[in-house]
Amino acid sequence: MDSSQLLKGVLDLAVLAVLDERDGYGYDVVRRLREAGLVEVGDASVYGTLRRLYKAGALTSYVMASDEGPHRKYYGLNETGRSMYAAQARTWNSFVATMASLLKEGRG
Amino acid sequence: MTPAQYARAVREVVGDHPDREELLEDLDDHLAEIAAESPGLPLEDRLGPPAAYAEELMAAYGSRAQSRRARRGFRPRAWATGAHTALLRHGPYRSLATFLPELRPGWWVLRGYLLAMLLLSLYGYGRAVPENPADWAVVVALVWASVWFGRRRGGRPASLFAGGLNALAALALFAGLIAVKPLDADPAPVAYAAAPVANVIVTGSESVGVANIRPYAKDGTPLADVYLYDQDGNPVITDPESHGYTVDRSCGEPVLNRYPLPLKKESFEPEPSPTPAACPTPSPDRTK
Repeated sequence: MDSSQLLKGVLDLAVLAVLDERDGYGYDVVRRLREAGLVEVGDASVYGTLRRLYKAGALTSYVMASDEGPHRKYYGLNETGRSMYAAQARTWNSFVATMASLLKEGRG
Repeated sequence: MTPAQYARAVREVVGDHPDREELLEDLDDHLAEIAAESPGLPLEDRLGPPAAYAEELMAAYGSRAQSRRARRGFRPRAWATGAHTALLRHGPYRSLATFLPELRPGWWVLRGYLLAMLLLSLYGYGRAVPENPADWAVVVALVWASVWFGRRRGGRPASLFAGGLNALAALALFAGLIAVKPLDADPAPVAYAAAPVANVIVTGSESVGVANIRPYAKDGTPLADVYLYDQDGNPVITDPESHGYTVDRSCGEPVLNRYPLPLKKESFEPEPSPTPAACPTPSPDRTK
């Protein structure tokens, strides 16, 4: 199964999870997703998702000076974002449990 | 491709997306991060073609279909970029697209040469290769300028100018190919020979010169109305005018290879001649 297809469905949740851990700028989010194991995630997909979540009112945004170069725009979860994250996490956990159960039955 | 060039290409594909500003807000920061992280590594290698980046960005943003509908009219450049992106999925096209940029420096040199020859042809006579040191100087200067211009990173005006130069150079190449007929395209071999000689002019030595010819028979009798021809059948004629004589045309136009010629000195004194003064029998012109 192509994991990139699965990733498309859960990229919102993955981005929300990363930002729930701590705020981050665009490329930082990309790196942290890859470090977490989602190596196939596309840069543009992450940036597009961040912009969409921001437009949907789930994220806050602020600019911080950087020692390494130009100022960076950081994203973080606001109340809406945290609620969204919690709801999506529940859906995901429920889905995973269902799939796990299904697969167990399939193996057995 | 520099971050600025890459960003410009992405913006071109995004076109007049309804949320264009929002969608592209982080683009410059992102490209700067990538460029700083991997200096020297082309952005296309790290992020893929700009068109693919733009498509992925719009897809993730979730309003790709809407953006397509929002675009009004036929946009050739966006259409071409879209077609390029679609074709990149095919291996042979991808190989070609990767390989073509490697030919750029060669094209810069050729472009300079073509423009130099175009310039030289406009201000002189048409030629495809330099023929003197001045030509070479122009060629070297324009090749250098073309390579310098190709290597510099310019903005939109520069790329428009480069497009104009490329079109001009391509035109010069096309015109040159049409003007220079390939050797093997010539169906009929052409024989080059000296132009046929109508008359053989006997001039003699510079000091003496031959103005007239007086033939004699074996027994010493002077001959008249003798036609002389060379080995190829060309009339043998002299050039009396250059030796101070004129052809006496009082009896009509004489045959110039019928000897002896009726000649007069420039002083209008008839040349002493053993032949009678009577006009020769009319005969057809046999000097061709």
